[in-house]
Amino acid sequence: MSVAELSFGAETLAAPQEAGRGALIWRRFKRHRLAVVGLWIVAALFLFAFLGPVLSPYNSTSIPTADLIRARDLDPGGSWTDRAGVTHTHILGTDSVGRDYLTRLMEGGRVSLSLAIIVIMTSMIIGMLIGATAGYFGGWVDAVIMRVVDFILTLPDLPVIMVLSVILADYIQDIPGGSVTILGIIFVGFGWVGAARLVRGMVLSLKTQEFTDAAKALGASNRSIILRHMLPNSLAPILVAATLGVGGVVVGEAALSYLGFGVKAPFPSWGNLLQNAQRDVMSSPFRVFYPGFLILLISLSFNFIGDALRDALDPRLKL
Amino acid sequence: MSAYLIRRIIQMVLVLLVSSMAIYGLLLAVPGGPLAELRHQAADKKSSFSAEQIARMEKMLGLHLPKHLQYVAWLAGDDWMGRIDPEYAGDRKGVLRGDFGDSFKQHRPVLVMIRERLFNTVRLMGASAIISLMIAIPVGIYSAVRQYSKLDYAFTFATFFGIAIPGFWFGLMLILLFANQFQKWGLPFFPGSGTISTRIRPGSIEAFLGITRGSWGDVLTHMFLPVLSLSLRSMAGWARFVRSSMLEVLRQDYVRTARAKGLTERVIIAKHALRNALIPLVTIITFEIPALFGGAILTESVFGYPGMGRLYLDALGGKDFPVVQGFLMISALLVVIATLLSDVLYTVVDPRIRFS
Repeated sequence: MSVAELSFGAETLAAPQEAGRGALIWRRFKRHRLAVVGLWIVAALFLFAFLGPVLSPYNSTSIPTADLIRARDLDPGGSWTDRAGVTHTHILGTDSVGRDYLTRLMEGGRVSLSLAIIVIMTSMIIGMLIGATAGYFGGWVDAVIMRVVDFILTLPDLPVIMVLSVILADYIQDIPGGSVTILGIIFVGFGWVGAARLVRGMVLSLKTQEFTDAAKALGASNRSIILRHMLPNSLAPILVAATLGVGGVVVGEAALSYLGFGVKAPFPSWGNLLQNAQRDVMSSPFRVFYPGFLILLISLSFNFIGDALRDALDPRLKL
Repeated sequence: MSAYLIRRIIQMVLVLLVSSMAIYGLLLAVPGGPLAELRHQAADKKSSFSAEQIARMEKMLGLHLPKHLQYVAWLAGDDWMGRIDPEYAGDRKGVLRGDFGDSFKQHRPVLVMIRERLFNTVRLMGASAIISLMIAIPVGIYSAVRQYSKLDYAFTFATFFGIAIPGFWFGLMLILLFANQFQKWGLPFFPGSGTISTRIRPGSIEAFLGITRGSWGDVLTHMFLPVLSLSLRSMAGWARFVRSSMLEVLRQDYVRTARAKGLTERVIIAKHALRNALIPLVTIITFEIPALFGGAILTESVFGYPGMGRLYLDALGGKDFPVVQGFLMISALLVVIATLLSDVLYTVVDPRIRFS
């Protein structure tokens, strides 16, 4: 209830010029200095992952067969000369099959980050729709949905995701990128629950408010009340939950891929780079360090941003 | 109270029944059936699997039974099914009587295999929970009482760090630093894997402290790094929780009353505020229990620690489905029991809550 009141307050305050509310949120957001740093880091990492592979002179999927031996297992800054006499330098060295490690990191980031963003957006949309339906209609619809939600919440997620990915892996063996798709679907299967609970709680309080009665009196259909009144008013906590959730998906993907149940070769991801690197942890410890460090950076940044966003959107919001 | 307990236990049994169906259903969802992989291996001449073994496993899984009886046989055994049709008679006792079948790979009862590993995992989880609480509670209290102090900012930053960091990667970094680099630098290094040393290596922490092989000290030094990596996340989460819960309590009227009475700050915090602030922690800790199984899998995998999580990982990799089912079923049982215990505990620590 506090959320609705407050966002109403903000809207009426900002009514004269629409830009006012955004500016107010931004001003409050900026007070959280670590979040601003986090924003820069996120921007930098997205450029690194999406623009980096395009700019990189190396292509990580093609292995230089002719010069394979010379390009393998180079230290950071190492270089080798191919048969044509051209010297190739690798800033972060190469992996055990001679691929440029910096490029692998960029391409791994592309997979990890796209997966995280798509998973979060899909889970939030599905969760919002289901949660709003449960909260708005109540009764047996609510009871059934909430039982399912409670059941999913008590599942030990990692072991269950692992067994699902083993069973489903056989179905998608021949589809390129199948392992990424399956992982995404499983994550959404677990991820919508949080959003659904959040929105259900919001809708339960929103529907007792006068504007809902007013909308009903004006003859609005249930669908339009949910889509035009309930969902927009519960957007703030969802936005915060989504931001806080991104790091969790990146870490989750990394954990599963590290164990060998997530993103599979030839697709690199920050998780399966860790899996490959662990084999030669003694000879090249930095190969284990980099992917995990990038995961930590992105996860930490999104946590700071989410925290600041919560304060900026509504200081009284509790998540 | 007893009516509430009876209702909760019935609910518990229902949840377990649904879980058991889901877990059994997983087996049916495997493309080509649970034995597809083994048949594939048996077709290979060099394989140790024979056709007779596969036939025996088929019988063990109850695949010779009609479809509607297969789940029943798994759950309640088929030793009594001779009464329905002499052909159905088998020697399985069923999950309800603790018979999860035999492992495909090791040809031993699943329950025995899990029992061997269970203690190692519980030891790891227990140690990590205790250490997390011992650090999280004082840190949370300090941060709340001295809100916005330098140390509070430092702790807050550290908790963000602990929540964001991938725990298994942190474990890998611990091995790199305390096991590998310490050895290179000539410092007393920690063991990076296993539960006890095969021999005490010169220069290791055991040699430094004069610990003998196989002693409690040996076990503890092996637990040090895994517990550290397992605790980080819960420590951070709980510290943050204690801080916000404590801040809320400190704003309450009865705390102001206690101050007005002239009580010392120490008494106010320890006797009035803390007890109320810690009540919701009980629920938060229970919420963490399902996550502990995931944590165990990752930690045990990173540290080559022979626990339940490692067993599960190996079983999944080898498509050893009876072991997979056994692990999932026992996890479900432990989660459900822990949830019930915490609900009961909650009413003990907070008499305001009534059973309803």
